Amino acid sequence: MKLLFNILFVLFITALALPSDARSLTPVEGLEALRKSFAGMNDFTADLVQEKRLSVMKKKLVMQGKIRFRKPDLFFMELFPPYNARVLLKDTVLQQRMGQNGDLQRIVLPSEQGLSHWFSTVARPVTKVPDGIEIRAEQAGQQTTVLIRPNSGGQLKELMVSLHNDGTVRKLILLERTGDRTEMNFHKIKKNVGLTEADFSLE
Amino acid sequence: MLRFFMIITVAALLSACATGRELSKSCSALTSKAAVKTLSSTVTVSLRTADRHISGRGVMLYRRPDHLRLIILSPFGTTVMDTLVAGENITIVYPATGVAYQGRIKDLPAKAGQRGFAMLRWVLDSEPQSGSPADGVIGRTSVNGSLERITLRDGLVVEKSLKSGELVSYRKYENLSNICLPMELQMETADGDRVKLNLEDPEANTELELTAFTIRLQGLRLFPLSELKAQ
Repeated sequence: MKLLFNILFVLFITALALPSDARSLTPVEGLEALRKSFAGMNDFTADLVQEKRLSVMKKKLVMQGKIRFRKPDLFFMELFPPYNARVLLKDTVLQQRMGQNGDLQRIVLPSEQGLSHWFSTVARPVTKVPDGIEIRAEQAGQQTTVLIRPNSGGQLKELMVSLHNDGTVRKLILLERTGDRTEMNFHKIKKNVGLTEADFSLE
Repeated sequence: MLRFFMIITVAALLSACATGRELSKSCSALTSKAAVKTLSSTVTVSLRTADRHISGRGVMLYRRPDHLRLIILSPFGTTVMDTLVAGENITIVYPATGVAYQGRIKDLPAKAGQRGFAMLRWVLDSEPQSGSPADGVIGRTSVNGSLERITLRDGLVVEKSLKSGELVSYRKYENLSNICLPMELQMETADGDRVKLNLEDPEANTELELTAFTIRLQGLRLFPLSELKAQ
């Protein structure tokens, strides 16, 4: 689970930083573009609307919140009522507080799963598509869509990232093999705004 | 942790007509309370033990009399744990690692719920006997043969405890279409472990097909419950 969390997180962060000259890309070019775009970003903020469709539930769960990130290893996500939650990841230390007055939960990840490790990994130039994944990218109008499909048969069936040609991600869709689907739409994305430590607090 | 989720969840459902310490006026004013046949709700769950604290958000489905499903989600919405209880059987799936555990509840390893099975039976038997006082404390022999103590208010169960130390309490009741639902439940084990479950935006007695209580096991490595370890 922690591994999946980190993979999703890195894809999520790099996608948010994609540059504005989006075009049709080969898989390698697509991954390389993600890497280069991340290199030019120090921090960002965005509003988030997360919609969860569970195959077992007719009702769609709609959660709203905001996210923040700062290099090299700080990530914060807050979900607003009625699904209050705050998550703070500082390299290998994951803290979260669920509910209005929920207790603080703290999990220490192994060092190889820490944010700094993952981002140093993705900072290396991409020369080939990593084994075990299939990547497709296409552009339509002002929107570029990148589809990532792991071949491992694991939990994640498909990850789709939709980017506007202004270089910001507008949509992220996670499709699980169970049919469960999570769609995240991002608004008011701001890059390199000078976030400080005070912007990454659960209090 | 699983057994606590199960027990508290079932307690919430089967005690849906009970009253709590923080009984709302709208709920206390009800003279005719409807029974819960199905319930679906997002939930937050929290487990605190001597050496760890775990919490998460998820979805809970219940269909009377004995089908229960609890899905715990990650902050990004993916499934962390999927649990299905159907009668005496239980299936636990961890999708990220591609493993599933299946068997009878009574076969859960001691650390994961051998004792929890007895507690589950105890929680299921939560209705006060006819002739019980509307308010007060009564004692009786529970289904597992232990002496249990039941606290009543307005004729309904507020709290149950066993002499061995287990305690379940029901809080923050709300009236949901003439059903009084405890929005917060807390259970304490004899070992001092504490589990809290909060219902968020529940829906009662809506249609829930039996297919919602089926877990797909294709592509997963299936193990007996004896292989289950603390996650």
